[in-house]
Amino acid sequence: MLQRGRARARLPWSIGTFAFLANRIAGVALALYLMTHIMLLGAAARNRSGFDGVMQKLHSPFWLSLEMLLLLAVIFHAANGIRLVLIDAGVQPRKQKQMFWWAVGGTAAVFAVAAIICVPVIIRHL
Amino acid sequence: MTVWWWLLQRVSGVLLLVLLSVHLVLTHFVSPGEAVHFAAVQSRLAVSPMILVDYSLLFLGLFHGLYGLFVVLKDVLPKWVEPKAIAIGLAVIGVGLGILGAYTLFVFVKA
Amino acid sequence: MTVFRVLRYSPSTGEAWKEYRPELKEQASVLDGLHAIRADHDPTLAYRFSCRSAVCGSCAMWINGRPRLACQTKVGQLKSDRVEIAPLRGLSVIKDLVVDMKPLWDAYQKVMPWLVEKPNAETMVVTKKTSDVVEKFYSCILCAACFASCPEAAQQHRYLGPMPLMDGFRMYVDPRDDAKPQRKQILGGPDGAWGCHGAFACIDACPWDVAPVEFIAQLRLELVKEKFGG
Repeated sequence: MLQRGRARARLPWSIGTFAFLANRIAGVALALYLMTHIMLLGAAARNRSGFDGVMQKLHSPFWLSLEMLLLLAVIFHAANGIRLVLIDAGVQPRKQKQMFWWAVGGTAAVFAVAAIICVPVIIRHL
Repeated sequence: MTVWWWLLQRVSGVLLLVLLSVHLVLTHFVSPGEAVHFAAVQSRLAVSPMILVDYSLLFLGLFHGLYGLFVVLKDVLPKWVEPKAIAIGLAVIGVGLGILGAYTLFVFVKA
Repeated sequence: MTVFRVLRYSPSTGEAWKEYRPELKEQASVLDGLHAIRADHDPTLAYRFSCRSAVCGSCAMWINGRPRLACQTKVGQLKSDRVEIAPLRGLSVIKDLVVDMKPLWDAYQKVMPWLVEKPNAETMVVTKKTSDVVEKFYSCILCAACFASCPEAAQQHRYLGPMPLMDGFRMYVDPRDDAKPQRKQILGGPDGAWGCHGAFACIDACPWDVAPVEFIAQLRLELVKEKFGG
């Protein structure tokens, strides 16, 4: 027997499976970020000026741009999370494709607001 | 037993939505041009509601993130790795980071 | 002419894609194509089939990127001059398109897909309200398309899978059943209803539009309600 169908049939890509994968990737990235965030702030908070120095370094365009990506991950993960919680709470699973597009729309809208506030700041620091 | 973890993951997710919005708006969007200062964090954490928000964010965030990692690792790691071992490993990390985070917040609160 | 690309496998020759150009009539199904290949090109091609009318569930296989029933899928409907056929994903391959269905049957067995009758079961009435809850379930032909498309079920060996859980739910809500505590243990365990992580691939996969995840979602609500004394 060929174990576990190593037959090169891949996952059937559809909106549901894409959302599932994207949610997992965002979630793992956020979990790793959270752990880094706690450790970094834990180390930096040792003294006042040390803390301010670290925060100043992280205010560079490079780190601020990365934070925008992080924000995108948070917003998408939250929006898709709401989609899943609604289905868990009784909304018909067959509506999952529609709900995904609502989640994407919501993500885009919230991210756009954040970008309008933050991108000028990043540009000013370039 | 699993029903509790499953429920808590959903409940913590919804709560985090609110808490994280508050946290992000207050730390980054109120004065977006400036870097975060020690004094700013200190003054934000001078009021009880904010202290509650940040501590809740810490513990709920750690739970939600680490339980999520548990589910993903259970799927991705080889079959012979026991779920219990993954859970214990992540719980140890969670407790460690929880203590570190709680102490860090305390540094700002008591200052 | 339509090219059939089939992922062949045998323990002695290993895995390899092979191409065929079977002669097909206008309304031919993929199953007709496989028959033509076996009759005219290669009699060693192994695949399962039985009723040829989408009722027995034998001919589920991976066709052009998705699990489908070979008898129900018309070649014309695929809108391509290439038909790529592989065995169902996530199950071990015995030969060519024949997979080992044991993991599915084992999971099915675990959910106790039979009625454990209450003493007065014979006199009990199953109301329309109760039977409506599981109505769509009866269309399931146990073809394993949902099982093969589920990222959880087809990947790791613990999660019971869409079809077994749907069956478990059908039994769970039957008022004549007397095994609720055992069922709760199985369906409410980590490999049961809580193992579904919402990829919803089963909705698209099912040739009879059954959507197992609908039942899993209802099952979870039932289990949560009962936890809180409902």
